[in-house]
Amino acid sequence: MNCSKAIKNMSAYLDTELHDLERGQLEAHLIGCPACFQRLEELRALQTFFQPPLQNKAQQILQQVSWDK
Amino acid sequence: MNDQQCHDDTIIARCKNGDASSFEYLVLKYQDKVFNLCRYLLKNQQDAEDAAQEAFIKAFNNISSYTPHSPFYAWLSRIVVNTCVDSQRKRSLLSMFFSDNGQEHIDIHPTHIPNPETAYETQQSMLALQASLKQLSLKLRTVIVLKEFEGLSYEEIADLLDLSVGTVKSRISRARDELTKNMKKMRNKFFFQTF
Repeated sequence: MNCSKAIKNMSAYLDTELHDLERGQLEAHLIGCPACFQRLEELRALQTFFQPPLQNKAQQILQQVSWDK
Repeated sequence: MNDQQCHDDTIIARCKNGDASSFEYLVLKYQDKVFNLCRYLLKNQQDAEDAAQEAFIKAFNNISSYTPHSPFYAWLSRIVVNTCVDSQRKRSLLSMFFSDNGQEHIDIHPTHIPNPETAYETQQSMLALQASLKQLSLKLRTVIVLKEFEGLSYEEIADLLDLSVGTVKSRISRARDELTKNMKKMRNKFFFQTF
């Protein structure tokens, strides 16, 4: 897999939307390509911005606990 | 089919039989999700409120066309997305004649109560993300919102928007690339303003 193909597949890789073969090819490429690995880490960091903070999750869990009682 | 879906379908069956008051249950149950989806897709708070209301009215008027083959929210969110796309089109036409400063604030995580120790850093990141989302085209914003905030799979997004899975994959990739670039630019701008 070349860099261009790797970049196209990175997002789907993070979303676990790649087939086994493509995932294996991308992971093999990432081992030998620091630039693509860096790019993947940037996309991974972007994903964390979309996730609610942990305290929000704790609040949700607490609410769930009180519902379950 | 889970219990929640069975319960929805029971309520919907009542609506189809002319029991309009049953629809109130569906509105109360899904209003937060629908309103948040509208806020992510549209840039303006008032437009989002109007679109959410309009989507529920459309859903009520077309409830007879819903079949319980798919979850009710999947059907409803298709109506919401289409309503937002129409609203954005109208807004684009209006903006040809009237300026829009677009200073409305989108709360990325509406139920989030900031931790004082990390509030500033989080706020900067959220503002950058919010501004970057606004810069995306509606096509790209729609797929990334459905992926990140609604948690839909590529196949579900493709089904909802009548696109191929390949197109969804490509648009999500482009959306993330643009968001990353935009957020980098904002981070650099903020760094140079601060120091």
